[in-house]
Amino acid sequence: MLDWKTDFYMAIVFLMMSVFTYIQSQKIPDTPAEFPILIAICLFIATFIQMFMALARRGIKAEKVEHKIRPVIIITAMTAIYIFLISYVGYLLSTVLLVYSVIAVLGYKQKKQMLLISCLATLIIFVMFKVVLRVPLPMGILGGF
Amino acid sequence: MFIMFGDILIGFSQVLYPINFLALFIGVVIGLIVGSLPGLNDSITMAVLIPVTFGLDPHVAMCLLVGVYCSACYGGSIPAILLKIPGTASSVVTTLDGYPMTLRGEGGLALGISTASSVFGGLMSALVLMFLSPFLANQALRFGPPEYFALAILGMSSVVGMAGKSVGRNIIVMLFGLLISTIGMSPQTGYPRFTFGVPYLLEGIAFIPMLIGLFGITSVLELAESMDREKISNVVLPKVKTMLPDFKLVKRLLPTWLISGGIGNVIGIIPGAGMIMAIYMAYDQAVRRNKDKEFGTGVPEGIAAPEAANNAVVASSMVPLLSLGVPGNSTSALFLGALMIQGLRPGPSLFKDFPDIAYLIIVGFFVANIIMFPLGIALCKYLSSFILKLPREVLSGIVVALCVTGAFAVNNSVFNIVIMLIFGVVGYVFNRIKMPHSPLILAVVLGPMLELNFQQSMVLSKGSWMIFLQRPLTLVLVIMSLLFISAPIMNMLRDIREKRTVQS
Repeated sequence: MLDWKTDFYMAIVFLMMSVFTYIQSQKIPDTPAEFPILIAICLFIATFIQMFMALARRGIKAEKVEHKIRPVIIITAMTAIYIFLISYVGYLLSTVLLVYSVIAVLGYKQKKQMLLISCLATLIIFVMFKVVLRVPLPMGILGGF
Repeated sequence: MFIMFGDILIGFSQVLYPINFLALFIGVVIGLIVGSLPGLNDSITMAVLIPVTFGLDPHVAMCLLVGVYCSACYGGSIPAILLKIPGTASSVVTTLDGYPMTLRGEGGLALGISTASSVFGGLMSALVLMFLSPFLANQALRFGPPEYFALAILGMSSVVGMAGKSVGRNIIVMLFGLLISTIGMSPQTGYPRFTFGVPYLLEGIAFIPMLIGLFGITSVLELAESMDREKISNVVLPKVKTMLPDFKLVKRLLPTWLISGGIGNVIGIIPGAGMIMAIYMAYDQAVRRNKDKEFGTGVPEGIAAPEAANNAVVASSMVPLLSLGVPGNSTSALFLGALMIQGLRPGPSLFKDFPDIAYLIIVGFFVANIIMFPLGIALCKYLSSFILKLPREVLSGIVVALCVTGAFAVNNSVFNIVIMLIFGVVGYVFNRIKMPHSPLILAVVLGPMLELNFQQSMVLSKGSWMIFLQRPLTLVLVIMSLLFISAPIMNMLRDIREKRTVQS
């Protein structure tokens, strides 16, 4: 069983989402707005009940599991940066960088192996998609080659 | 009936066509490998593979995916039995009796039982798929918008009904999924909704990048979080030789296989109920039926039950997808994505318009289970110690590279990688707060179907809801939905009553 606070905040987030959807749906003409409004109302009711059920459990302690959130944030941020990089620097360089950093964040130690793996993996995937499947992967600064 | 056998023969000729057979073979090998790797499973692999498949011929693509889906949950039982580390979630229960057998020096026999049970369960469900789905599809040809609307409702209510104690969460996740499905142009009028001026969103949230995020990226983030907690590098695999069960043991296990396979098939066909539920139910049945044996100490039935059940879910979960266009679980939703990327729409029309593909998939499951048998034994013998030595950090790096490339390749857009990342984070957060993924995926698939068919039904009935009660088939579907929804309510009432009796 989760901590009641987690449940409570989760319900609040979805509750706000339902209200947001409801307000946004007002800008849409009747027929296309019908379905989103219906869902928003259902979501509002469901989260409202969930919120009260969480409150009812107040005071009951749940076991806490330690989570290491840092590596998760770093990997997410790296992928976000990757999305920016890929259009400018191109697929090859940015993907090598992404694979290298993910392996590094996960705690792998041998640096030479890491470089080799990230280059090799990127190259194989590149050949598979760009050459075999003809996906126009962005080339960026390597575009002239 | 004769026409059907003809179609099945077409399926066989398709599957046994060299390149298709090769793809199926490779799929089974990939499935076995990723299944036995803790942290990777069939859904992650298929999500990553789908963008690769769309450059392939649809027959080859389907064979590859069928192979992966078939063998992954069997592959998971190898480390479960030998190391007490389930390779996939579907082999969690197998550890209970599998590992004690290994400790007793009977690891080889345990692997043999798992192999035989998996193949038995798999073949059973392949037969169910083979005979039930063309029949259902034939019935579904008569479905109109009200029937499809009721069917979508049934799919969603079964998710609620199967939710156990977390009904509220399931409902919230499902509604969230429905909201996501409304992004983009409305199905009836084409009016853009919640696109906030982003042209990429006009087509709605891209399904495959979303699945790649939910499965692939989420798995890497999960690993990042738990890296210190479970170090499994440098494991030493005990050397065992697979021993198939002898005739006496087969005779003893046969009832367990039949019952567990039956449970797996039923659970597989019901949309929304998953593999995990099937393995627990099958194990529970085995325990109840064998009161004289002490489960958890290495009882062969304890391996046979979950393994037969999880493989029985595989092909039967394709029944609703192939015949009605409603995915049975999140993995078969991936098949939906793979078919759509090829321009094929699962459902009754698939049998009519592309019988070669429909029967190829059906027969593919059958053949994949047969080739899984020798391949599985070979894998246990030669490959598993090598596979389990692969560092997970490195694998995750490769998974991330495949995810970003695959997401991009779906329609050559960087925006897809954004979608993938967002859903990767959503999947991770959902795992943290114990929100299930499958209602989300199911709702995203069923949302447009629900909306379009509802509005068309309203046009048909000139705005009267009675249309859902007047047609016999919709009435049956509505009643079934009500039964599903009432299950958790009944459970809750029973709990309250029990609490009261305890207190008084």
